Amino acid sequence: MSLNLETLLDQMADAMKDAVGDDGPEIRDDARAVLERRRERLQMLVDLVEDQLQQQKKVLESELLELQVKSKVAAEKAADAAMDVLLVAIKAAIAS
Amino acid sequence: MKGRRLFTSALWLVLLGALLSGCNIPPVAERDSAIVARVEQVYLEADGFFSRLLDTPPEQRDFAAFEERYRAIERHLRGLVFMNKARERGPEAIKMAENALDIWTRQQNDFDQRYQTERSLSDRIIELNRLNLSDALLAIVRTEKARPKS
Repeated sequence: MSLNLETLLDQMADAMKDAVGDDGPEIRDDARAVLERRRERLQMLVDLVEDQLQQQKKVLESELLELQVKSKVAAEKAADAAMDVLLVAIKAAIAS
Repeated sequence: MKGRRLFTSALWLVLLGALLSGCNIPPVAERDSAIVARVEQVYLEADGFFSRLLDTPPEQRDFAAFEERYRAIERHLRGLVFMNKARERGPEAIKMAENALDIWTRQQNDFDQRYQTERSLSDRIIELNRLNLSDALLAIVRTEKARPKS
């Protein structure tokens, strides 16, 4: 995931313009200039969110892999139980 | 409840896959106490590291002062990846160890870059980082404990 800060600043300026109604077009450029001064801070915020999201992605992936291994373990146990029943039946058939 | 349903669905998929492939499931690696011990060691060291970082006043959180500790824990995590590869513990185990390493190096790089611009690291970020690493390590331990005993 990657946020384009340029587009984000434009969208924020547009939202500010729309919010003030008729005077919007006139303040749009001023709003954009104000946001431009906040660019560095906003970029840091975007970087922080992206970094934390990437960490969350890795944690989630690990937890899903845990589920996958547990499923395999359960499948092995189920297959072993089925084979045990089959072997008992075969032994009983041979013995009779 | 959702987790249980997801688990049941995954189990049926594995069983179905096994039936379709003639019961040819690669065996799950057995529980390895050395892996659990290594993960617990990394957890304890990292937890102590985060506590020390939080005990340090924010304006004194100099990356250079913590770099050596970062590198030491990184070495332990690289060792964990290597152990999983060398012992052929399966793709899931290797990936989970790589994820923990990725989280740690990401946190380290973020601190380094943040320090260059902000000269500090906030408590909130440290707490989040601590939780992220702890969750990734816990997933490894839980998985290990679910494996069949040798």
